[in-house]
Amino acid sequence: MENYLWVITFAPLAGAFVNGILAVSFSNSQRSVNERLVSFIGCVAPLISFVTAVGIFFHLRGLPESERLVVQTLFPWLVSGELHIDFALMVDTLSMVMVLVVTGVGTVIHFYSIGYMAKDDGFARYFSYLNLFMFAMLVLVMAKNLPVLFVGWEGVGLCSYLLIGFWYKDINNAAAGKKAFVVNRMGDFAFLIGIFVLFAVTLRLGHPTLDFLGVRELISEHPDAFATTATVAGILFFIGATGKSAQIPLYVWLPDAMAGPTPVSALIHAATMVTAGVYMVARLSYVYLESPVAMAIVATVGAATAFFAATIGICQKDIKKVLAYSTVSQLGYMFAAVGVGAYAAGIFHLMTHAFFKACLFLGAGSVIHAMSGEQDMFKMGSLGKKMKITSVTFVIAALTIAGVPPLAAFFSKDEILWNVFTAGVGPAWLPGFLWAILFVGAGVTAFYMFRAVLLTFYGERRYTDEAAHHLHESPPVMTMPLIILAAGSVVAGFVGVPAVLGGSNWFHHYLEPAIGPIAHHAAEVAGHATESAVHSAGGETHASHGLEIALMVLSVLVGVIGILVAFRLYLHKPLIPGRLAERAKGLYQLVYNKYFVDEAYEKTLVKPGYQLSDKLCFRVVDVWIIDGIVNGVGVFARLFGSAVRLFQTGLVRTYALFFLLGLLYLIYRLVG
Amino acid sequence: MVTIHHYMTLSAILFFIGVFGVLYRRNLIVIFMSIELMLNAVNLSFVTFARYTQSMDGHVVAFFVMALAAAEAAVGLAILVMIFRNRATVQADDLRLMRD
Amino acid sequence: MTFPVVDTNVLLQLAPMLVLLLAGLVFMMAGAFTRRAGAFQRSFVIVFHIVVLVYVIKLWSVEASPILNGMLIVDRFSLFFTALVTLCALGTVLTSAHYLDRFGMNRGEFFSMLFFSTMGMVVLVSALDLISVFLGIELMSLAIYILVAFRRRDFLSNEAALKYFLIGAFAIGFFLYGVSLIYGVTGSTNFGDIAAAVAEKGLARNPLFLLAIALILAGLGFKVSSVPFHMWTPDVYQGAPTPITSFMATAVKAASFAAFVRLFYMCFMTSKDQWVAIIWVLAVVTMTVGNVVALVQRNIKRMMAYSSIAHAGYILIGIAALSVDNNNAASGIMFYVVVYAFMTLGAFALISAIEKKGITRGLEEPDYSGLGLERPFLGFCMAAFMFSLAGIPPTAGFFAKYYVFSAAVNEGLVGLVIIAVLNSALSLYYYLRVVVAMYMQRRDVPVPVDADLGIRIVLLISLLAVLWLGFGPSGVVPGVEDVLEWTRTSLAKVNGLGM
Repeated sequence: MENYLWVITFAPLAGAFVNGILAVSFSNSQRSVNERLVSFIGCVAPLISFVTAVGIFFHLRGLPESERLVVQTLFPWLVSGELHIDFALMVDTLSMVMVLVVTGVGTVIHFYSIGYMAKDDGFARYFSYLNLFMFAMLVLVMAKNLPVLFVGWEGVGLCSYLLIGFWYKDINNAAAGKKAFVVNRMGDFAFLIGIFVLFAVTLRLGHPTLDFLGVRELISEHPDAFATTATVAGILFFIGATGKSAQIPLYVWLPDAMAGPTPVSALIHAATMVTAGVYMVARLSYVYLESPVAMAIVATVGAATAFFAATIGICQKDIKKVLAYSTVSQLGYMFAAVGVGAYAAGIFHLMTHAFFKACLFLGAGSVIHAMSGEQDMFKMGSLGKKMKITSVTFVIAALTIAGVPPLAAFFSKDEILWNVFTAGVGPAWLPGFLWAILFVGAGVTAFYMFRAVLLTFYGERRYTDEAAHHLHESPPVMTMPLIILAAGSVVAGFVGVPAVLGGSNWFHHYLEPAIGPIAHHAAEVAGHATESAVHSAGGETHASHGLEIALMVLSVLVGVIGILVAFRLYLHKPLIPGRLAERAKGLYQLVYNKYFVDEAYEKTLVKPGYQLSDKLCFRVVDVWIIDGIVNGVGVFARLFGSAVRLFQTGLVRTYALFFLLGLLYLIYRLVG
Repeated sequence: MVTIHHYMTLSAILFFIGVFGVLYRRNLIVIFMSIELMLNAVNLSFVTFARYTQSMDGHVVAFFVMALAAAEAAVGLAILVMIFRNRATVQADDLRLMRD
Repeated sequence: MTFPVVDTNVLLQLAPMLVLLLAGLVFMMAGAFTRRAGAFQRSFVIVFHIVVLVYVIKLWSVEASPILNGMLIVDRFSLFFTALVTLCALGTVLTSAHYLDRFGMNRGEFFSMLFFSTMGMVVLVSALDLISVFLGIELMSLAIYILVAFRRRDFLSNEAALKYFLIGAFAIGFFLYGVSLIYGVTGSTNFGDIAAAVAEKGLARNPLFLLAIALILAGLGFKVSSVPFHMWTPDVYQGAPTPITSFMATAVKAASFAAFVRLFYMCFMTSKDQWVAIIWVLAVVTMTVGNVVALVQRNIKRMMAYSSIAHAGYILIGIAALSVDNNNAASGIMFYVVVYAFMTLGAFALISAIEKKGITRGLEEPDYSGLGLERPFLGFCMAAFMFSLAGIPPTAGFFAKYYVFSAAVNEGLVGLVIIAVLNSALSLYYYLRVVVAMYMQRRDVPVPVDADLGIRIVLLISLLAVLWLGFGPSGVVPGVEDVLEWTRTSLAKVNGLGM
């Protein structure tokens, strides 16, 4: 079965290639491309990946637990001296989950796109990019070593850039793409340095490797050698993750990224690409477990982001912006989980989030499609009557994110909260504090989600008659994906029912072989500060069962309170929010404007940076020094070339003469 | 007493007469002849060494060189005839359409 | 009297040459009896090439030993280059279909000469004796003189042929003089015997021997167009029919470097201390002059000629890094030559598709403006070749340079490599000018491009090769090293000494 790993990655690449050719060949012609053909190619490619991935999944299940790993080396890639890097793919249980999520949700969203993007000029280009994204993402999650992962990492960044600026004729979209790209580059830079740091240490240990398994082995053998490296590399990798996964301080690109087509927001900026950072931290769990400091930073930043972004979500008017901040917030939860060492919990939430957030985005897309591009929720209202399927699936997904049992996020979010609460990371007060933040964040999440639900689908009608005229439920090719994803958000949680509720937490045990130090070494590491983390799954001891259930009830309660408040404010007393905003004008403005973070960045970083690059780098360094050198070399070389050219007289005699002179020089040097 | 050095010197002199012929003559036919002279100087050198080392290889090479010199002359003269037809000249210095 | 029995094994080893000889004769006849080589003849040309390649594959696993009294050896090294020059010839044939008709030279003799020339190259790369080197060079060159002159009514073609012929004959004179001195000093022209005699009599620093090396170096330097023996190159490349320019830049260069490597590896390694310094100088001036003068060229064929000179300079770095201890430099050169062949064949295929009759001949930069936007595939191919020639990853050109340069660094030639890297940077300027013209300039009338099926095939294969060898070259270089290691052991068995 391992011989088929390449199929998973290369089917989308082939799709991207074919559709790319179609896109290019139709770009200048008057005829429009055959949409049936394009959508067939575009959707079959990820479907092939998905089917193959399912095959690999069953193959893995057939293996003993500790050997659940398939590897395929495609070709030796960089071989130079000490360094030997293969272009190799690997699927262990962690990758497996990611591959299934990416291909499964990805396929559904591809189908949805057929309806959403119909009649768009860039139909073939869109599917080409989307398939290319699938390829890059699958390379990322199936990479066997860091350089291959980095290829995927950069590849998804590129596709994200291309798709955010998909409608590039609007300058704002192009600017949003650029912003995403530039912000991500900052993170990538740190990530790359992190790779170098790790490599330097393995080189010093005499086993130069960047292979995940190799590094894991090496850390198990020489934990001392990695003491400081783990912290440095861990923080550098995490900076990379804050870029890709939109955490403080590099989250600012994600809300702007909503400029892209909505299915793209669903696939790339909610379900898959942005979770790459979480995956990467989980993949490098053995590095983080060596460094309590790095873990504490990850957890703190994650929790802070979770809360901070949730509060911004309260005041947004644009339905996609609400979802974008919600994504940032939910990613914060995942980081909080992996930060305290609860990798399984983080990945579990990643998986459930993929379902409900993709469902929410696609539902929003369905609404936007029906409203001919309107995204302001205050111009919607009572759409539920006209769009039954969309509204029902949207509500299910919203209930899920609010943590209502027994929907998926109830299990995953509670596992995170419980793990954070019982974690042994950082100072003694930290876990409790982080828990409190996340707990309040959960309530806020429920509130802003239902605010969005009520504003969009219920309450009074606020849209114009013209909009009403062509308001319609979306076609089946768009509603079917909604139903599938909503069903997913309902049932996905049952793979991880905790022991306290009578489940076996299958998901947690499934991931176990892929996470943390190598099994035979696990006992030693358990001595680290992360004891509870490695064996978390929600408190093995009987005594803590009561506490766990209490926390669970609390978080359900806070979610329900959030929902009820939303009902009160936006359905029963719709005038209150306006009055509240009046009364606390300053606070409202602050939150509405996203705490002015973009403006602060603009003032403190972008402007001075721009000034610096314009006044110093461009006017002085570039124009004078660099251009001076380049042009100087150019001028000099051209002069030299013109001079040498003079010898090229066109006369055979001259050529023979130079031949003879050259020979005499050779003789002089050799014999003389 | 005529030694190998005399033969070698003669060969070198002939060779350089040929070389300078190529360098200083303008007429293409004369340049051809100079190249032939170079090749014959080489032949002399081969035969001398063959005689000196008492092996047959040098003699064989001399025949090869003669054969190929003839082939070369055929090709060269063909090119020359072609140029004369098109340009009505056999002066090397007239052929400088391509330079710098 | 016993009739000498021909060993069939020897015949088998000679098969590639014999097939080429037969093909040359067949097409000589075809040229005599038909006015124009149609699709029928053309398909036979391709068949003959394929037969040669089949024999190469067949011979690949045959144990090599010197044949014809030690004149030739058909080992993997020579088979590697046989396959390469055959592929280059095939690429030339595929490139030339419409071109020959357009310029009125579509005749059987064209292919006949191409076959004879390829046969000369096969002799050259299989040579184990200076006489066979000489014969190979002559056979190759005589046919090429004729091919260069093939546009009979064209002044530039005439002039190019004459210049090439005169300087070629002049150079071969010096080469032969060097051979005669070697013969005089060592008593043999056979590579193995020369090496043995040098070791036995301690000739490594003998002035006559070194003089011979200088003369031979000048002769080979002419063939690979190393400065200052390069001055014919731009004129001949410009004047020759473009497919022949392509053939000269790829096959002639590859075959000459093959002989260069084998000769220096087998016979002259003991004198390396003496000649490495001048190869150093030759490499530096070759790449610098090539790159610098390429900057000021307007005609794209002349630009490619100087580019080819510059690349010869890079390959000479590999010669300077040759070592008896390892195969790094030699395998680097082999890889380089292959990569260079693909990217150059591709580039010239497109150049010949755009070339036309008239004053400018469609060979100036403005003739390429807007090409990338009008013909995306052709533009993309050309851009890829230009990036590869400039040595930008992830194209094959980068790894070609990388392997040669890293071999040189391992031999301690750091200064040389630094100069080479600076040169590469300089070369970007003129390669990218083509790309800029293709993508950033527009003109009113679209470029008339005559890209027939053959040219498209050459472009596609070259493009795939350039990208494939650029993404995963590690799979290839060990393969090249295997070829070399195998050759080395087979030669060591023959001579009783390491190659």
